[in-house]
Amino acid sequence: MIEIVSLRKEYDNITPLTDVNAVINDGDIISVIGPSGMGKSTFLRCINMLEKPTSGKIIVNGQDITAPGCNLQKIRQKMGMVFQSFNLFSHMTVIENIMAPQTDLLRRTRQEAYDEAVRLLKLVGLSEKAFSYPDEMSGGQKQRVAIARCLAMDPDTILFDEPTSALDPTMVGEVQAVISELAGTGKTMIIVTHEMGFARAIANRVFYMDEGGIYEEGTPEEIFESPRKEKTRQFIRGLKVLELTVREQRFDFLGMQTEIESYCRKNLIPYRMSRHLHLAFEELVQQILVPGMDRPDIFCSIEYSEKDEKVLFSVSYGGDEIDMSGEDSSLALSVLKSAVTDLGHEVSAEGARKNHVSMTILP
Amino acid sequence: MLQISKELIGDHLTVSIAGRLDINTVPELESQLDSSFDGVSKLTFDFSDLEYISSAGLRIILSARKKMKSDNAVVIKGASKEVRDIFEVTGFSSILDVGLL
Amino acid sequence: MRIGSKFCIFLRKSTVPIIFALILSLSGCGSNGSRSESSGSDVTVRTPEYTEFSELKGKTLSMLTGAPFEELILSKVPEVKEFTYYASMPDMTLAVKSGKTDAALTNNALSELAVNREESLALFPTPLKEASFGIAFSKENKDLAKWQAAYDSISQETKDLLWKKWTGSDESKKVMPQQSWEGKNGTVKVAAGDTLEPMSYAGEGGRICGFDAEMILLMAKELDVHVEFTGMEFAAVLSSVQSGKADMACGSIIITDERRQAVNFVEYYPAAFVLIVRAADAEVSSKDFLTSVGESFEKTFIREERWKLFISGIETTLIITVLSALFGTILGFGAFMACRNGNRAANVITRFAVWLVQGTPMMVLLMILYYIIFDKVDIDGVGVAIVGFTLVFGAGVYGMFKVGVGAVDKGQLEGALALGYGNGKAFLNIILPQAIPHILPLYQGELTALLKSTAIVGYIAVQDLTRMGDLIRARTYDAFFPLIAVAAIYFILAAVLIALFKRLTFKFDYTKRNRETIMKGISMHD
Repeated sequence: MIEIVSLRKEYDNITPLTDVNAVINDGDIISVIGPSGMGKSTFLRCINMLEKPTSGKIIVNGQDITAPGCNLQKIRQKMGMVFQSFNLFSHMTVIENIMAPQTDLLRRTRQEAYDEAVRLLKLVGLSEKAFSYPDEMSGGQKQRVAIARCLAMDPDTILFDEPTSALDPTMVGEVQAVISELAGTGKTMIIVTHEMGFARAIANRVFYMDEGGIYEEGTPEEIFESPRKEKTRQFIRGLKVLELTVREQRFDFLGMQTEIESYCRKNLIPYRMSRHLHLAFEELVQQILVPGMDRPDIFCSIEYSEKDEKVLFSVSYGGDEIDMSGEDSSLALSVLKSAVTDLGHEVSAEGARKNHVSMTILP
Repeated sequence: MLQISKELIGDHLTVSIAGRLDINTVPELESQLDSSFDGVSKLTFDFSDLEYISSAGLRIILSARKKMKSDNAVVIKGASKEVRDIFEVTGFSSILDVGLL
Repeated sequence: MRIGSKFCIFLRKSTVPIIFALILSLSGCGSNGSRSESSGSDVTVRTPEYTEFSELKGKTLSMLTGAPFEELILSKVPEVKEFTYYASMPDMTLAVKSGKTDAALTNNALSELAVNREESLALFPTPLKEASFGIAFSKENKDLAKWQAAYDSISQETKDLLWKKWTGSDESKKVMPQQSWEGKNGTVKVAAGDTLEPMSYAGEGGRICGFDAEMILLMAKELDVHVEFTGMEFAAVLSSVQSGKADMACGSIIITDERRQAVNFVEYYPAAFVLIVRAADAEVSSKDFLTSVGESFEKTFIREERWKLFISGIETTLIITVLSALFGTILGFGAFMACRNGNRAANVITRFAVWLVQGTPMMVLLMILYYIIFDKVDIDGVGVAIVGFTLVFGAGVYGMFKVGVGAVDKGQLEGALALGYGNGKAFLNIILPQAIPHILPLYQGELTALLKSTAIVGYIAVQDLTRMGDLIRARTYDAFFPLIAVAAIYFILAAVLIALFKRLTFKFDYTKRNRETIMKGISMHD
């Protein structure tokens, strides 16, 4: 069992992990997902102390491995790691790569180490490459050898740090197949990956990392089907979000228009849809809401789902409710209606901005 | 953003508008029109190159129509499908002559 | 670069004389070979080309590099065409013979010998200045008076006979007496110039002999002390006395006011500054090419068993090179290991030491070690040279390891650590073997550079290969053969060293392995 308590990692100019807490049980297979730069790899590298945590504890089978004087070598021998960049020893052949840790660290004889290496090479389907040097192999083959080398130490836990990120798309499958095979052997595995389908299929638990910690965790179904938290949802659905806040009568309309324009262009939102989005923003905010407010407090959120090719536009504002169907607004409202669908309206009981308007932009 | 060109033949003024007609660009069109109504009895808006029109743009067309003497003195021509849709949903097409050409 | 700097200096300063020397040797101008058998022990009287100072007006005059006697010459010859400077007596006499220069300023001892040996040379009749030869003592040495008294007790006749013996051309007489007295009063160390024939030079078997040396023995016999001579470059003899490495110094030293400020002297024989010029009836003898080469070979290697000097020079050079390389490798590797884990103190010290060692010219570093740091320590020149070159080679090795290890991908260390390797084991088993192919070519280059740069150890009284070449050159007055021989020997030594090094390091290069070595001792049953 691995317990991670209040783990914090600071660098000179960035703090990727502020407070990570987790319990990893024996036999767990955990996918770690989340946006780039949110400390997934740092988290993984802290677990085997390749990165020294700034504070916090990592307790492996009851032993705090962050404590000074802890025998890290023994811990690491039971906790393998597979790297994005393979890190095969380039001065050794494949067979030696797998034999060396056994003879150097486990005191196996060369013959024992050789026999084990042959067995493992067969397991990863690379028997014929025993005498190749790493430089002579493809990325997928190198990663399979790296997994075999890791297995040679017979670890209880294996940490996978983006094992397929450096590979050609055609080689991702062969490596994932080997990892999937291992999933049935009862070893604890923690896998940092950007491959969502793989992350979901292999794991029994998923960690979504954001905001310096494990932002949300759950079973693959929970995380991928019905995430509870906003950022998880946005990440899982591939949502691209633009947020705008209006706080003045004479706000910078042109500037916001430009922001919407570049947001649309960046996310390849179709032309008609982007025109509808512009109309919706102009009619609702500029024509309907702002004129009725002395001190506007309007928050707009635009979410584009790549998966569904849908744009959601929602607006919350503070102060009294604005009557959208009033005389002055009728023209604007009818233009707005030409651009959106599912126009909804509700008032919540709590919060600074109680009034909510939401709609789906027409394609 | 917005390009406006005017052509007067007799009492017939043709205003060609290219670009976006929204809250930002409406004041410019407004000032251009104000100085051009003398002796005009027929007004045509050429929207062939208009990409975008919002309610603010519609209002200015509405006020132009009020300034003209006869009801059918304002004609829209060359509007794209998207622009015509807007005229459609707002009921403008029933009070204005919105032609394809 | 630190290639044999002395060699370099020589080549730079006297390219022209060397070329001349080559031509002369090949065309057989050297005629000194046959003179040793002739009887003439008296000063040869020959008519010089010039006899009046006024005749030297507008001529080229020469002296040894570093001898500040332009003023002296100008006081007698107000107008000269130019002054030229030579690194050694053989070069300068060759220049006079070949007409490259018209007159050469030296002292009476050196010039008498030169004229006795060379038929085509003569002495200018009037000396420029009279002075006295001296034996130097440190200012602190209280025994000066005793030695002066001992000198005074020797009869003038004995002294003159001695002078004739050493400045004459009869080589067979030039034998040093045995120190057969008891030596009740101990042993004195004498720093002696070793290329200053006939006063003080390395003779048969490299042993110091000459007028100065024998005179000191005569005095020592009076005082009943034994003498231990150490041959060295003239530039080093006075420093040796000053630093206390020797009790006395000799080597054709003419007493000057400046020198008196640094050391005390026993004044012992009249010296004079004289000019060597060509003889009026000088005739060019001709010998065929092969005879001349044969003679040069005989003089350089066979006579007085001079090949033994080469052998002992090679030994010294190799000892310094190999031990410095060995200790330097250990030192550099040790420093690298100490710095590897980011130890602040180790890094600061190492960086400072490397900066200091690499920023100092090798020759200066050696002299500082010899005369200042190991001043009072009982360590010989070879030891000091090994210390100096160990430091320099160590700095080089440290740099090589930094470069070599830096070239290994960082992921290799992480890969090893993640498997459970300790830091040290990961370095030795994983990182180092990958760094070595980067390091070996650099190391090989540094090793040859080291071999060649040891050629400057002559400055701290070490008789290495280059120095032996100098000694022989000083005796044979032949530049060509000893220099080419020394160059060839360095070349061969470097080749042998590299070949040995390659054999030694072959198995450290992982790229040179084959499947049999990889799978040694494993049965591949399935």
